[in-house]
Amino acid sequence: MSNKSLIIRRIVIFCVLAFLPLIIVTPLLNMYYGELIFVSEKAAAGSYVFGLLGMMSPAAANLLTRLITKEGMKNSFLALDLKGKGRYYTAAILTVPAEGLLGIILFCVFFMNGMSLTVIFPAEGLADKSATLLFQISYSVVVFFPAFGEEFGWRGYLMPKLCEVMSKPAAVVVGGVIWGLWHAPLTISGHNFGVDYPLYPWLGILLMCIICVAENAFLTLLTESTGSVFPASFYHMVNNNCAIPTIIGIFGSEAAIAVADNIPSIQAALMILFIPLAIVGTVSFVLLMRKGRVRENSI
Amino acid sequence: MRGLMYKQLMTFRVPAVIIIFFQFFLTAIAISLYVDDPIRGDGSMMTAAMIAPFILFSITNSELFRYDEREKWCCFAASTPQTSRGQVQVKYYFTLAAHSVMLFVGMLCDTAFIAVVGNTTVSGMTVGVLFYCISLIMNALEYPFYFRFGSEHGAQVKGASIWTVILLIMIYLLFGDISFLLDGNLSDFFASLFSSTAMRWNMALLMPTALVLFYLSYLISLRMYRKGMESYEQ
Repeated sequence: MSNKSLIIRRIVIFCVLAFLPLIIVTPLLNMYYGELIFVSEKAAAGSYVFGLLGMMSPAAANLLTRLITKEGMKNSFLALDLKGKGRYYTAAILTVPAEGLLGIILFCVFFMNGMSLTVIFPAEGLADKSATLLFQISYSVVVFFPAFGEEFGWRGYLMPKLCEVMSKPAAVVVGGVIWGLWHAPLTISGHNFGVDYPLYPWLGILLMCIICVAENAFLTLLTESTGSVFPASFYHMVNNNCAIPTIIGIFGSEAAIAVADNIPSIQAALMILFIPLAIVGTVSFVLLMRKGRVRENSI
Repeated sequence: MRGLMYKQLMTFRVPAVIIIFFQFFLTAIAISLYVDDPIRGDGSMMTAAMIAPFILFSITNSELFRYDEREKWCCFAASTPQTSRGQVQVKYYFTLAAHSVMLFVGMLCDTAFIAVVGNTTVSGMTVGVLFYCISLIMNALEYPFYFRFGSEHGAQVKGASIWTVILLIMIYLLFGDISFLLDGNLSDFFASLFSSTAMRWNMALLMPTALVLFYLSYLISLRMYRKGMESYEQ
């Protein structure tokens, strides 16, 4: 078997193993609860635990694929070397609050027009609120393992393999789409965007793929630059625990929170979440390409 | 490093299993207490289930060092590609990984408890995260002693330090101003303490402080290890 076909075989096995748990378990849980688990109140705890455990499936797929194809643990991206790479670790943690800040500006522009900034985000108790945000970032450590589970699979296994069989731009897009499609059973069950939007669930799945492509560019840049999946895991854990709605919930006035609560999820994702992500994704994409060119020139 | 991590896991597997089992056991008690009597079975047992693993880890962490305290082993370890730096690194990586596992298992237990109770206000996760940080700080303070004096003497130094702190607290309780303890309800005092801005900042800064101290401790341990290995038995 040629090297390329062996890599493709490994990619296929990995994808099947990563996708199977969600494809099988999600419909079973929906049937058990009698409604879609991510919109059902009685399934709240169950869906939360399932979501967290589901995030570990790419890591399990990584290990199993290595075992099945007798690959060993080479290039596992598990190094934790901070020397000279501190800026990437810092960027991993600070990018989420930066995206949040931009998201807040967009929220004010698109949804709170006519209101002054001091009414939307009152200055009183700012010290308390800032402490709460910082604690919320610290609290993200709770979801470190699930975040690591995804990163160890997608960035630690799939992306390096894709980069070997296609150009880097194509790998970033294909990897992002695969990652987005992996979320499909959850998206269909109401995760992220609910179920009350036009073209359900296709628009949700499409949007998830686009979001994942943008995030994939940034996370691949972090992983490639550090040779480790840990910075990407740190970004992922802070992102899952400290997203823009959380920041609005901490700093916003009651009126602002009420407006935010009433924005349909799909609209919020398009107008508040996607623009900061697209900027981060585009910058990362350019940096990734430049890095690749520098490496080619040096060879 | 993977080999060293594996070795560390194998030598620490018994305490690890006990810690995780104890966490599940306390969660089961918390759930059964609630099922038995929802008023008495509040979140306090779940809080204990979140704290206990970190305390147990602090008690048993000398097991991480016990098998490495031979001068010959240290010389051999220094000759491996990982050098003596790897020997020190692995203790810190393993501690971080163990803490993350304990917190993750705690979160699963806490979610199970909330699912049964149906009330998110009894969650013990905040306490869990606080003890995660406190435990990291405690370990950061202990490890340089372990590396310098060995686990046995290091534990004695640790014990002496803890007793000194307890003695200082007792002296304060005897002669200092403790009106805040005597006036009114103690739980009200703690509630007001946790809601104060200063305390919120303390809680928020606990994680960055813990991580910085942990890293500083690693740098100190690197120096201590080389001095310590000369005093180990053959």
